[in-house]
Amino acid sequence: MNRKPATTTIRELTPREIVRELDRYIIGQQSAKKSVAIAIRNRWRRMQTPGHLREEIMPNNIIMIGPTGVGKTEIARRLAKLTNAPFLKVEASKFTEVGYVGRDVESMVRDLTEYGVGMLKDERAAEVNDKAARLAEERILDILVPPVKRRQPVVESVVPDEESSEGEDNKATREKFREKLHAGELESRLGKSLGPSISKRSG
Amino acid sequence: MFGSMLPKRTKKRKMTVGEARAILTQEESQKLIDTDSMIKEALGRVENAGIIFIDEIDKIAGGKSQSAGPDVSREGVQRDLLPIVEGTSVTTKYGVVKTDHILFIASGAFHVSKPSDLIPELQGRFPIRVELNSLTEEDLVKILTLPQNALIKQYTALLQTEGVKLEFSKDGIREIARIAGEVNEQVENIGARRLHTIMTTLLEEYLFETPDKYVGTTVMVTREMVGERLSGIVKNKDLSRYVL
Repeated sequence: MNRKPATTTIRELTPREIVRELDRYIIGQQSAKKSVAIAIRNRWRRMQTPGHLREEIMPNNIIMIGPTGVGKTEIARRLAKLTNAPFLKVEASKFTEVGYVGRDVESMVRDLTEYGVGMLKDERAAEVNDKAARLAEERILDILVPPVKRRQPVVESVVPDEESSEGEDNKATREKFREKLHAGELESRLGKSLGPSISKRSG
Repeated sequence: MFGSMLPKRTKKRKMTVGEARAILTQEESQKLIDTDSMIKEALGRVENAGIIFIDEIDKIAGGKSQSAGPDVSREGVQRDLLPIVEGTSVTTKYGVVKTDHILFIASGAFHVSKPSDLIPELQGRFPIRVELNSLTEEDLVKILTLPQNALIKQYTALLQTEGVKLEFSKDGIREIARIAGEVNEQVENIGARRLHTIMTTLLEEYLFETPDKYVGTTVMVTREMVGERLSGIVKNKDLSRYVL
Protein backbone atom coordinates (compact mmCIF):
# COMPACT_ATOMS: atom_id res chain seq x y z
CA MET A 1 0.00 0.00 0.00
CA ASN A 2 2.99 2.29 -0.04
CA ARG A 3 2.56 3.05 -3.70
CA LYS A 4 0.90 6.35 -4.33
CA PRO A 5 -2.71 5.81 -5.33
CA ALA A 6 -3.09 6.28 -9.04
CA THR A 7 -5.01 9.21 -10.34
CA THR A 8 -7.38 6.86 -12.09
CA THR A 9 -9.61 5.05 -9.71
CA ILE A 10 -8.06 1.65 -10.21
CA ARG A 11 -4.41 0.90 -9.98
CA GLU A 12 -3.12 -0.26 -13.26
CA LEU A 13 -2.14 -3.81 -12.53
CA THR A 14 -2.07 -6.31 -15.34
CA PRO A 15 -4.01 -9.53 -14.81
CA ARG A 16 -0.75 -11.37 -14.33
CA GLU A 17 0.38 -8.91 -11.70
CA ILE A 18 -2.91 -9.25 -9.89
CA VAL A 19 -2.58 -13.02 -9.77
CA ARG A 20 0.99 -12.70 -8.57
CA GLU A 21 -0.07 -10.38 -5.78
CA LEU A 22 -2.89 -12.70 -4.78
CA ASP A 23 -0.44 -15.60 -4.75
CA ARG A 24 1.33 -13.96 -1.85
CA TYR A 25 -1.68 -14.50 0.38
CA ILE A 26 -3.73 -17.27 -1.11
CA ILE A 27 -2.52 -20.71 -1.99
CA GLY A 28 -3.74 -22.38 -5.16
CA GLN A 29 -7.15 -21.57 -6.68
CA GLN A 30 -5.54 -20.36 -9.86
CA SER A 31 -8.69 -20.38 -11.96
CA ALA A 32 -10.54 -18.21 -9.48
CA LYS A 33 -7.63 -15.80 -9.28
CA LYS A 34 -7.50 -15.57 -13.04
CA SER A 35 -11.18 -14.78 -13.32
CA VAL A 36 -11.09 -12.01 -10.78
CA ALA A 37 -7.92 -10.60 -12.29
CA ILE A 38 -9.63 -10.41 -15.68
CA ALA A 39 -12.69 -8.80 -14.15
CA ILE A 40 -10.57 -6.15 -12.48
CA ARG A 41 -8.52 -5.45 -15.57
CA ASN A 42 -11.69 -5.17 -17.61
CA ARG A 43 -12.87 -2.38 -15.41
CA TRP A 44 -9.70 -0.50 -16.03
CA ARG A 45 -10.00 -1.22 -19.75
CA ARG A 46 -13.52 0.06 -19.65
CA MET A 47 -12.36 3.37 -18.21
CA GLN A 48 -10.02 3.75 -21.20
CA THR A 49 -12.75 3.29 -23.80
CA PRO A 50 -14.52 6.25 -25.41
CA GLY A 51 -17.55 7.62 -23.58
CA HIS A 52 -20.50 6.10 -25.40
CA LEU A 53 -19.10 2.60 -25.18
CA ARG A 54 -18.06 2.98 -21.60
CA GLU A 55 -21.66 3.09 -20.47
CA GLU A 56 -22.48 -0.07 -22.34
CA ILE A 57 -19.75 -2.29 -20.99
CA MET A 58 -21.05 -4.28 -18.09
CA PRO A 59 -18.90 -5.66 -15.31
CA ASN A 60 -17.99 -9.33 -15.24
CA ASN A 61 -19.86 -10.29 -12.14
CA ILE A 62 -18.58 -13.52 -10.71
CA ILE A 63 -19.98 -16.41 -8.75
CA MET A 64 -17.40 -18.32 -6.78
CA ILE A 65 -18.39 -21.81 -5.87
CA GLY A 66 -16.50 -23.79 -3.31
CA PRO A 67 -16.53 -25.11 0.22
CA THR A 68 -15.89 -22.79 3.11
CA GLY A 69 -12.36 -21.95 4.08
CA VAL A 70 -10.72 -22.36 0.71
CA GLY A 71 -10.14 -18.68 0.13
CA LYS A 72 -13.23 -17.21 -1.50
CA THR A 73 -13.54 -14.28 0.83
CA GLU A 74 -9.82 -13.84 1.10
CA ILE A 75 -9.47 -13.48 -2.66
CA ALA A 76 -12.10 -10.77 -2.77
CA ARG A 77 -10.68 -8.96 0.22
CA ARG A 78 -7.13 -8.94 -1.07
CA LEU A 79 -8.37 -7.90 -4.45
CA ALA A 80 -9.98 -4.80 -3.05
CA LYS A 81 -6.86 -3.84 -1.14
CA LEU A 82 -4.76 -4.40 -4.20
CA THR A 83 -6.80 -2.20 -6.44
CA ASN A 84 -7.56 0.43 -3.88
CA ALA A 85 -11.23 -0.09 -4.57
CA PRO A 86 -14.06 0.44 -2.12
CA PHE A 87 -14.98 -3.01 -0.92
CA LEU A 88 -17.91 -4.33 1.03
CA LYS A 89 -18.63 -7.85 2.17
CA VAL A 90 -22.19 -8.80 2.97
CA GLU A 91 -23.90 -12.03 3.89
CA ALA A 92 -26.79 -12.76 1.61
CA SER A 93 -28.65 -14.45 4.43
CA LYS A 94 -28.82 -11.19 6.39
CA PHE A 95 -31.18 -9.59 3.94
CA THR A 96 -34.92 -9.69 3.74
CA GLU A 97 -37.31 -8.46 1.13
CA VAL A 98 -37.91 -4.73 1.16
CA GLY A 99 -40.67 -3.91 3.58
CA TYR A 100 -39.96 -6.67 6.03
CA VAL A 101 -37.95 -6.52 9.18
CA GLY A 102 -34.29 -6.89 8.39
CA ARG A 103 -31.80 -5.22 6.12
CA ASP A 104 -32.94 -4.39 2.65
CA VAL A 105 -30.51 -4.97 -0.18
CA GLU A 106 -30.09 -1.31 -1.04
CA SER A 107 -28.29 -0.84 2.22
CA MET A 108 -25.27 -2.59 0.74
CA VAL A 109 -24.85 0.21 -1.75
CA ARG A 110 -25.24 2.77 1.00
CA ASP A 111 -22.65 1.01 3.11
CA LEU A 112 -20.28 0.79 0.19
CA THR A 113 -20.67 4.50 -0.44
CA GLU A 114 -20.03 5.24 3.20
CA TYR A 115 -16.85 3.24 2.97
CA GLY A 116 -15.79 4.91 -0.25
CA VAL A 117 -16.24 8.35 1.23
CA GLY A 118 -14.25 7.33 4.28
CA MET A 119 -11.49 6.08 2.03
CA LEU A 120 -11.29 9.31 0.08
CA LYS A 121 -11.39 11.32 3.27
CA ASP A 122 -8.39 9.42 4.62
CA GLU A 123 -6.52 9.84 1.37
CA ARG A 124 -7.17 13.57 1.23
CA ALA A 125 -6.22 13.92 4.86
CA ALA A 126 -2.94 12.18 4.15
CA GLU A 127 -2.28 14.56 1.28
CA VAL A 128 -2.76 17.67 3.38
CA ASN A 129 -1.26 16.19 6.48
CA ASP A 130 2.01 18.14 6.34
CA LYS A 131 0.30 21.43 5.80
CA ALA A 132 -2.26 20.70 8.48
CA ALA A 133 0.48 19.79 10.93
CA ARG A 134 2.21 23.10 10.26
CA LEU A 135 -0.99 25.04 10.76
CA ALA A 136 -1.72 23.11 13.93
CA GLU A 137 1.73 24.01 15.20
CA GLU A 138 1.02 27.66 14.59
CA ARG A 139 -2.16 27.37 16.56
CA ILE A 140 -0.41 25.68 19.43
CA LEU A 141 2.15 28.44 19.40
CA ASP A 142 -0.65 30.98 19.33
CA ILE A 143 -1.86 29.49 22.54
CA LEU A 144 1.51 29.07 24.20
CA VAL A 145 2.85 32.44 23.12
CA PRO A 146 -0.13 34.54 22.10
CA PRO A 147 0.75 36.86 19.23
CA VAL A 148 1.18 40.43 20.33
CA LYS A 149 -1.11 41.87 17.71
CA ARG A 150 -4.08 40.37 19.42
CA ARG A 151 -3.49 42.53 22.41
CA GLN A 152 -3.80 45.63 20.31
CA PRO A 153 -7.40 46.47 21.14
CA VAL A 154 -6.77 45.98 24.83
CA VAL A 155 -3.61 48.04 25.08
CA GLU A 156 -4.72 51.03 23.10
CA SER A 157 -2.33 53.53 24.53
CA VAL A 158 0.74 51.70 23.37
CA VAL A 159 2.77 53.63 20.82
CA PRO A 160 3.03 51.70 17.53
CA ASP A 161 6.83 51.82 17.68
CA GLU A 162 7.01 50.02 20.96
CA GLU A 163 4.52 47.48 19.85
CA SER A 164 6.55 46.38 16.89
CA SER A 165 9.60 45.90 19.02
CA GLU A 166 7.52 43.91 21.43
CA GLY A 167 6.43 41.85 18.45
CA GLU A 168 10.05 41.08 17.69
CA ASP A 169 10.60 39.85 21.20
CA ASN A 170 7.58 37.75 20.92
CA LYS A 171 8.80 36.23 17.69
CA ALA A 172 11.99 35.16 19.38
CA THR A 173 10.04 33.47 22.14
CA ARG A 174 7.84 31.86 19.58
CA GLU A 175 10.82 30.43 17.75
CA LYS A 176 12.23 29.17 20.99
CA PHE A 177 8.99 27.40 21.75
CA ARG A 178 8.85 26.10 18.21
CA GLU A 179 12.23 24.49 18.69
CA LYS A 180 11.06 22.98 21.93
CA LEU A 181 7.98 21.70 20.19
CA HIS A 182 10.04 20.08 17.49
CA ALA A 183 12.28 18.52 20.07
CA GLY A 184 9.15 17.04 21.63
CA GLU A 185 9.94 18.60 24.99
CA LEU A 186 6.47 19.94 25.48
CA GLU A 187 4.50 16.89 24.42
CA SER A 188 3.18 16.03 27.85
CA ARG A 189 2.93 19.52 29.29
CA LEU A 190 -0.56 20.37 30.29
CA GLY A 191 -2.23 23.26 28.54
CA LYS A 192 -3.05 25.00 31.79
CA SER A 193 0.48 25.70 32.84
CA LEU A 194 1.19 27.09 29.42
CA GLY A 195 -1.69 29.37 28.77
CA PRO A 196 -5.40 29.39 28.04
CA SER A 197 -6.93 26.04 27.41
CA ILE A 198 -7.64 24.88 23.93
CA SER A 199 -11.08 24.99 22.49
CA LYS A 200 -12.37 21.84 21.00
CA ARG A 201 -15.33 21.47 18.76
CA SER A 202 -18.03 19.56 20.52
CA GLY A 203 -19.61 16.67 18.70
CA MET B 1 -25.97 21.14 4.55
CA PHE B 2 -26.77 23.95 6.94
CA GLY B 3 -24.66 22.49 9.66
CA SER B 4 -21.56 24.00 8.15
CA MET B 5 -23.11 27.45 7.95
CA LEU B 6 -23.97 27.72 11.59
CA PRO B 7 -21.29 28.82 14.00
CA LYS B 8 -19.47 25.89 15.48
CA ARG B 9 -20.22 25.10 19.05
CA THR B 10 -17.00 24.77 20.92
CA LYS B 11 -16.05 23.98 24.42
CA LYS B 12 -12.88 24.55 26.33
CA ARG B 13 -10.83 21.60 27.29
CA LYS B 14 -7.53 21.16 29.01
CA MET B 15 -5.09 18.85 27.36
CA THR B 16 -1.44 18.28 26.77
CA VAL B 17 0.37 19.74 23.82
CA GLY B 18 0.65 16.31 22.25
CA GLU B 19 -3.08 15.74 22.39
CA ALA B 20 -3.79 19.23 21.20
CA ARG B 21 -1.54 18.70 18.24
CA ALA B 22 -3.52 15.66 17.15
CA ILE B 23 -6.85 17.42 17.47
CA LEU B 24 -5.72 20.64 15.87
CA THR B 25 -4.08 18.81 12.99
CA GLN B 26 -7.33 17.07 12.33
CA GLU B 27 -9.23 20.32 12.49
CA GLU B 28 -6.85 22.02 10.15
CA SER B 29 -6.88 19.19 7.66
CA GLN B 30 -10.65 19.26 7.68
CA LYS B 31 -10.49 22.91 6.72
CA LEU B 32 -8.03 22.16 3.94
CA ILE B 33 -10.09 19.40 2.35
CA ASP B 34 -12.63 20.41 -0.21
CA THR B 35 -15.50 18.23 0.91
CA ASP B 36 -17.65 18.63 -2.18
CA SER B 37 -15.01 17.55 -4.63
CA MET B 38 -13.96 14.78 -2.28
CA ILE B 39 -17.47 13.35 -2.14
CA LYS B 40 -17.81 13.67 -5.88
CA GLU B 41 -14.65 11.69 -6.40
CA ALA B 42 -15.73 9.17 -3.80
CA LEU B 43 -19.03 8.58 -5.55
CA GLY B 44 -17.19 8.20 -8.84
CA ARG B 45 -14.88 5.67 -7.34
CA VAL B 46 -17.71 3.72 -5.78
CA GLU B 47 -19.60 3.65 -9.06
CA ASN B 48 -16.67 2.66 -11.23
CA ALA B 49 -14.41 0.70 -8.95
CA GLY B 50 -16.60 -0.48 -6.08
CA ILE B 51 -16.72 -4.17 -5.29
CA ILE B 52 -19.55 -5.81 -3.39
CA PHE B 53 -18.87 -9.30 -2.18
CA ILE B 54 -22.03 -11.23 -1.43
CA ASP B 55 -21.22 -14.22 0.68
CA GLU B 56 -23.50 -17.20 1.22
CA ILE B 57 -25.48 -16.54 -1.90
CA ASP B 58 -26.45 -20.21 -1.83
CA LYS B 59 -28.47 -19.55 1.30
CA ILE B 60 -30.96 -17.48 -0.65
CA ALA B 61 -31.06 -19.89 -3.55
CA GLY B 62 -33.41 -22.73 -4.20
CA GLY B 63 -36.09 -24.19 -2.05
CA LYS B 64 -38.98 -23.53 -4.42
CA SER B 65 -41.42 -22.08 -1.92
CA GLN B 66 -42.44 -25.15 -0.04
CA SER B 67 -44.41 -23.11 2.37
CA ALA B 68 -47.30 -20.92 1.43
CA GLY B 69 -47.09 -17.20 1.87
CA PRO B 70 -44.47 -14.69 0.86
CA ASP B 71 -40.92 -15.96 0.70
CA VAL B 72 -39.42 -13.10 2.58
CA SER B 73 -35.83 -14.08 2.76
CA ARG B 74 -35.06 -16.17 -0.30
CA GLU B 75 -36.60 -15.55 -3.64
CA GLY B 76 -37.80 -12.18 -2.49
CA VAL B 77 -34.25 -11.13 -1.72
CA GLN B 78 -33.09 -12.41 -5.06
CA ARG B 79 -35.71 -10.29 -6.75
CA ASP B 80 -34.59 -7.28 -4.77
CA LEU B 81 -31.01 -8.02 -5.64
CA LEU B 82 -31.73 -8.13 -9.32
CA PRO B 83 -32.13 -4.41 -10.03
CA ILE B 84 -29.07 -3.57 -7.98
CA VAL B 85 -26.87 -6.00 -9.85
CA GLU B 86 -28.48 -5.00 -13.11
CA GLY B 87 -27.94 -1.34 -12.50
CA THR B 88 -30.12 1.10 -10.68
CA SER B 89 -29.75 4.31 -8.78
CA VAL B 90 -29.62 4.17 -5.04
CA THR B 91 -30.01 7.30 -2.98
CA THR B 92 -27.41 7.61 -0.29
CA LYS B 93 -26.81 10.48 2.03
CA TYR B 94 -23.95 11.63 -0.19
CA GLY B 95 -25.96 11.58 -3.36
CA VAL B 96 -27.29 9.16 -5.91
CA VAL B 97 -25.11 6.17 -6.70
CA LYS B 98 -25.54 4.28 -9.93
CA THR B 99 -24.83 0.62 -9.49
CA ASP B 100 -24.37 -0.27 -13.16
CA HIS B 101 -20.64 -0.68 -12.95
CA ILE B 102 -20.14 -1.90 -9.43
CA LEU B 103 -18.51 -5.31 -9.53
CA PHE B 104 -20.45 -7.98 -7.72
CA ILE B 105 -18.75 -11.11 -6.57
CA ALA B 106 -21.06 -13.69 -5.11
CA SER B 107 -19.85 -16.74 -3.32
CA GLY B 108 -21.32 -19.78 -1.76
CA ALA B 109 -20.63 -23.36 -0.92
CA PHE B 110 -23.66 -24.62 -2.80
CA HIS B 111 -23.74 -27.79 -0.77
CA VAL B 112 -27.49 -28.11 -0.77
CA SER B 113 -28.61 -25.85 -3.54
CA LYS B 114 -27.04 -25.35 -6.95
CA PRO B 115 -26.25 -22.15 -8.77
CA SER B 116 -29.04 -23.09 -11.15
CA ASP B 117 -31.45 -22.78 -8.24
CA LEU B 118 -31.01 -19.04 -8.30
CA ILE B 119 -33.67 -17.28 -10.28
CA PRO B 120 -32.61 -17.24 -13.95
CA GLU B 121 -32.46 -13.46 -14.22
CA LEU B 122 -29.96 -13.32 -11.42
CA GLN B 123 -27.89 -16.15 -12.85
CA GLY B 124 -27.68 -14.20 -16.07
CA ARG B 125 -26.22 -11.30 -14.17
CA PHE B 126 -23.34 -13.40 -12.92
CA PRO B 127 -21.87 -14.60 -16.17
CA ILE B 128 -18.64 -15.92 -14.76
CA ARG B 129 -18.50 -19.00 -12.59
CA VAL B 130 -15.39 -20.23 -10.96
CA GLU B 131 -14.97 -23.22 -8.79
CA LEU B 132 -12.57 -23.33 -5.93
CA ASN B 133 -11.11 -26.65 -4.99
CA SER B 134 -11.01 -28.28 -1.61
CA LEU B 135 -7.63 -28.03 -0.03
CA THR B 136 -5.23 -30.91 -0.33
CA GLU B 137 -2.62 -31.78 2.26
CA GLU B 138 -0.07 -30.15 0.01
CA ASP B 139 -2.12 -26.94 -0.03
CA LEU B 140 -2.37 -26.97 3.74
CA VAL B 141 1.39 -27.27 4.09
CA LYS B 142 1.81 -24.26 1.85
CA ILE B 143 -0.85 -22.31 3.69
CA LEU B 144 0.98 -22.94 6.94
CA THR B 145 4.26 -21.65 5.64
CA LEU B 146 4.13 -19.51 2.52
CA PRO B 147 1.70 -16.59 2.75
CA GLN B 148 2.96 -13.37 4.27
CA ASN B 149 0.50 -13.85 7.09
CA ALA B 150 1.12 -17.59 7.42
CA LEU B 151 0.02 -19.10 10.71
CA ILE B 152 3.47 -20.40 11.57
CA LYS B 153 4.92 -16.94 11.10
CA GLN B 154 2.18 -15.52 13.29
CA TYR B 155 2.70 -17.90 16.20
CA THR B 156 6.46 -17.68 15.99
CA ALA B 157 6.23 -13.91 16.20
CA LEU B 158 3.73 -14.06 19.05
CA LEU B 159 5.87 -16.29 21.23
CA GLN B 160 9.04 -14.50 20.31
CA THR B 161 7.74 -11.41 22.08
CA GLU B 162 8.17 -13.33 25.32
CA GLY B 163 11.46 -14.89 24.48
CA VAL B 164 10.26 -18.31 23.41
CA LYS B 165 11.70 -19.56 20.18
CA LEU B 166 9.36 -21.66 18.12
CA GLU B 167 10.84 -23.92 15.48
CA PHE B 168 8.98 -26.16 13.11
CA SER B 169 10.57 -29.14 11.47
CA LYS B 170 9.46 -30.09 7.99
CA ASP B 171 7.82 -33.31 9.05
CA GLY B 172 6.18 -31.47 11.92
CA ILE B 173 4.50 -29.08 9.54
CA ARG B 174 3.46 -31.93 7.29
CA GLU B 175 1.96 -33.74 10.24
CA ILE B 176 -0.09 -30.69 11.19
CA ALA B 177 -1.36 -30.45 7.62
CA ARG B 178 -2.13 -34.16 7.52
CA ILE B 179 -4.13 -34.03 10.72
CA ALA B 180 -5.98 -30.93 9.55
CA GLY B 181 -6.87 -32.70 6.33
CA GLU B 182 -7.99 -35.77 8.19
CA VAL B 183 -10.21 -33.87 10.57
CA ASN B 184 -11.66 -31.87 7.70
CA GLU B 185 -12.56 -35.10 6.01
CA GLN B 186 -14.03 -36.82 9.03
CA VAL B 187 -15.80 -34.07 10.86
CA GLU B 188 -16.57 -31.08 8.73
CA ASN B 189 -14.65 -29.41 5.99
CA ILE B 190 -13.87 -25.91 7.14
CA GLY B 191 -10.83 -25.58 4.92
CA ALA B 192 -7.86 -23.55 6.02
CA ARG B 193 -9.58 -22.43 9.19
CA ARG B 194 -9.00 -25.91 10.54
CA LEU B 195 -5.33 -25.11 10.76
CA HIS B 196 -6.11 -22.35 13.16
CA THR B 197 -7.88 -24.60 15.63
CA ILE B 198 -5.18 -27.23 15.30
CA MET B 199 -2.41 -24.77 15.91
CA THR B 200 -4.00 -23.34 19.03
CA THR B 201 -4.63 -26.79 20.44
CA LEU B 202 -1.12 -27.86 19.59
CA LEU B 203 0.53 -24.86 21.17
CA GLU B 204 -1.89 -24.37 24.04
CA GLU B 205 0.61 -25.52 26.63
CA TYR B 206 3.22 -22.99 25.52
CA LEU B 207 0.78 -20.19 24.96
CA PHE B 208 -0.61 -20.68 28.45
CA GLU B 209 2.52 -21.38 30.46
CA THR B 210 4.63 -18.62 28.97
CA PRO B 211 5.99 -16.51 30.60
CA ASP B 212 5.88 -18.66 33.77
CA LYS B 213 7.85 -21.36 32.04
CA TYR B 214 9.70 -21.71 28.77
CA VAL B 215 11.16 -18.20 28.61
CA GLY B 216 14.49 -18.37 26.84
CA THR B 217 13.89 -21.86 25.54
CA THR B 218 13.44 -23.20 22.06
CA VAL B 219 10.36 -25.26 21.34
CA MET B 220 10.79 -27.73 18.53
CA VAL B 221 7.62 -28.77 16.78
CA THR B 222 8.41 -32.14 15.30
CA ARG B 223 6.34 -34.93 13.97
CA GLU B 224 6.55 -36.77 17.27
CA MET B 225 5.53 -33.73 19.23
CA VAL B 226 2.52 -33.09 17.01
CA GLY B 227 1.48 -36.72 17.11
CA GLU B 228 1.80 -36.85 20.85
CA ARG B 229 -0.35 -33.82 21.45
CA LEU B 230 -3.01 -34.36 18.86
CA SER B 231 -3.35 -38.04 18.10
CA GLY B 232 -5.60 -38.65 21.07
CA ILE B 233 -8.01 -35.99 20.01
CA VAL B 234 -7.95 -36.91 16.35
CA LYS B 235 -8.62 -40.59 16.98
CA ASN B 236 -11.56 -39.83 19.15
CA LYS B 237 -14.00 -38.57 16.57
CA ASP B 238 -16.50 -37.33 19.07
CA LEU B 239 -13.89 -35.40 20.95
CA SER B 240 -12.49 -33.83 17.82
CA ARG B 241 -15.96 -32.69 16.95
CA TYR B 242 -15.67 -30.39 19.92
CA VAL B 243 -12.01 -29.64 20.27
CA LEU B 244 -10.56 -29.31 16.79
